[in-house]
Amino acid sequence: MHSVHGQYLHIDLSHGRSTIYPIAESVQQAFLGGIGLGTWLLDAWCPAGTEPLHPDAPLIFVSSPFIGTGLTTASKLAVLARSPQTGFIGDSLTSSYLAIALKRCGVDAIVITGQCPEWSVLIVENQEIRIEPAQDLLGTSPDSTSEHLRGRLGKQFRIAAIGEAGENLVRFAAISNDGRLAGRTGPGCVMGSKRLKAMAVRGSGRLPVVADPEALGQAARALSRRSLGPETAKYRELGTAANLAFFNKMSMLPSRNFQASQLDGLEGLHGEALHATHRTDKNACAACTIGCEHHYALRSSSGEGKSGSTVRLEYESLYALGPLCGVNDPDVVLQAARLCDDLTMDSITTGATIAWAMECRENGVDLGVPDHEIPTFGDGDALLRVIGEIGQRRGLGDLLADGSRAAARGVGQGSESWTLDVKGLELPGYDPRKLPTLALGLAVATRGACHNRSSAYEVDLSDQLAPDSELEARVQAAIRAEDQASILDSLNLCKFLRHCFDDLPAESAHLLEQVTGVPADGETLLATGERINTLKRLFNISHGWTREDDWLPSRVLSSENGQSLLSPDWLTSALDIYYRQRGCDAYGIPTSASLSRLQLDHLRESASAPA
Amino acid sequence: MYKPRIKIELFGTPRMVAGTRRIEATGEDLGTLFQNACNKVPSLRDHIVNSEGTWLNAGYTFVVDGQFTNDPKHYVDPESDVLLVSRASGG
Ligand code: SF4
Repeated sequence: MHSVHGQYLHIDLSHGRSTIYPIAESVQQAFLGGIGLGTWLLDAWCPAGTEPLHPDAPLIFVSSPFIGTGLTTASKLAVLARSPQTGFIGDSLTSSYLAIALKRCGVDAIVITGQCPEWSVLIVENQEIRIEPAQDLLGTSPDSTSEHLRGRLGKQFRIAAIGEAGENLVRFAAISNDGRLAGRTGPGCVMGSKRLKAMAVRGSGRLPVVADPEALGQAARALSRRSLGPETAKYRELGTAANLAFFNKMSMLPSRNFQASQLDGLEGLHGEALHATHRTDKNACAACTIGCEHHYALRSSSGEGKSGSTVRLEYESLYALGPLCGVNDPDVVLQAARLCDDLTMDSITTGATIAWAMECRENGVDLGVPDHEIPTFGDGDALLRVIGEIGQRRGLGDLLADGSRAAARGVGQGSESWTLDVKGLELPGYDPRKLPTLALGLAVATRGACHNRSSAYEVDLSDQLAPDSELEARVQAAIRAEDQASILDSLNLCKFLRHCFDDLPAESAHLLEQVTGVPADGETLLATGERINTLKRLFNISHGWTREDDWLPSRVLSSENGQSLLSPDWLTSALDIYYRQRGCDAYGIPTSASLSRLQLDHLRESASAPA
Repeated sequence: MYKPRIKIELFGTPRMVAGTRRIEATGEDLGTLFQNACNKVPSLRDHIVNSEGTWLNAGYTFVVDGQFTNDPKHYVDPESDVLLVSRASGG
């Protein structure tokens, strides 16, 4: 198989040792790379009973066959661990030059276990490793850490680092590289538990050759041209912040901890308005022709005294730190987004957990601190203060640093009924009460309430299905969306590229064949997506998952305010159909016939050897 | 003959290009409404019209009364809530 190395590097931080392990070609064909191959490695290295923050728990970085091939948006790195936030699979994607550096090291993945005796930097140079003290870097942001390390080690090094949130074991801490975050499910917390402030990687090897360079070159150029067409205009021209005004109009903008789906007075937060008032420039991830990362000026809350610095802002941060907390001041939201980046934590969980605390204040719940320290909806200053407290686990922040579900379980008093999460991961900014296909996607998503692992909102926000379609058809559409998302996540292509394909599975199979030389078609690639999703489910089952975990928060299932298209009965029926169509039994467990059809019986066995 | 005017609410690039949040135009279906709107705000043509100049390009869609539609024959009247928005909904 071309464009892969067929091996990965295991690093044991406790003993400062590294070992190379082979990856069978059958495994690479079956799981591709990225999240797919990462799931296979995680399943092997994190058996049942391995606690997420135990030194034995793995932290895994994975490249893909597409990285370094010239295919636009393909420089993404998958990061996997057992999530300290959910207890289930934690998988994130982040774009950066680190992905290319890792592939130049001559391996397809790095698996890190163990724990450094003191805070350290892991230095990986090709397949050699060394561990150096990092005490002097504690308390610094990933940007400063990266600048410092690249100054010391050389510009060829690419850095992944945690901020204060990871050092303080905030359960939703992220890992940052090139300013982009592997954000959800807490990989930064796992890195912090290993006393690893940063990993610096330099690869000087040649990238493995692709099977058909000429055909691939033509295809890559065509895809780049298409990536500059109308299908991605929104991302290039306004960025994802463009969602806010439209979602608010459609009453699908979760606001005030999902007490509402629409909020007045948000004009200043509209992507169109931010573009006019705050936008400074834009950037693109490594090897991306689209460039959806828009930067905005940071100012004081009064709107004066421009500080000269800027922040990137995505729709999800805008939603979670704005309307979800009842905040409509753009300067506050931009500062909050910057704080989350500097402390390096997931902005969705940060905003959603603070929104939960705001509702606790409304309902007089005792959170163990004086009332005036609990933020109220709309209080921007309190929002900024509490974000800082979370990152440093101070005051109220210590409770909130475990996420809304754990915090509610700790304080009780009825507050569990207003946590908005699935499996402990808080909901993104698409109100599922109006988006039934997404609602199912969120319920069954293996990493918790994630719009990216299912992308089923695309079905609801289009004319693909009539609103009164049969549930069977809706479930089928949700499954296809999940499998397509797995394909993209395992080829490490950006989801924002998906409209540039007329037939995503067939066209990506064609690219895969040009890259790897392995014959592929749309059907086999969709089966690969199904295999990866099934393995994620199996991993969760090993770590205690039951059907009850595929459930939505009571607030989105209730007909409170007459807003929801959903109900508990609806979800029960949708899950029954989903499990049947997925080849699972009524409890959501894949049947042995499904495992054998997807070859997961023997592929899983082959994984257990190295660990 | 009296032709009722229909409001189109713009989001994203169409709003920025047109420099306004709403356009009013006439038309009994989306196809004619769209052409009349583009005649009124010609700058829209550079951004949202397909290469034949007949309909939306692949980046945009209409939403009428909460339903996404790309059908130029979709009936509209002055009571219709017509939105013009990007097809890409990722965030
Ligand atoms: S489209 Fe945006 S998120 Fe995707 S690779 Fe490009 S810059 Fe990164």
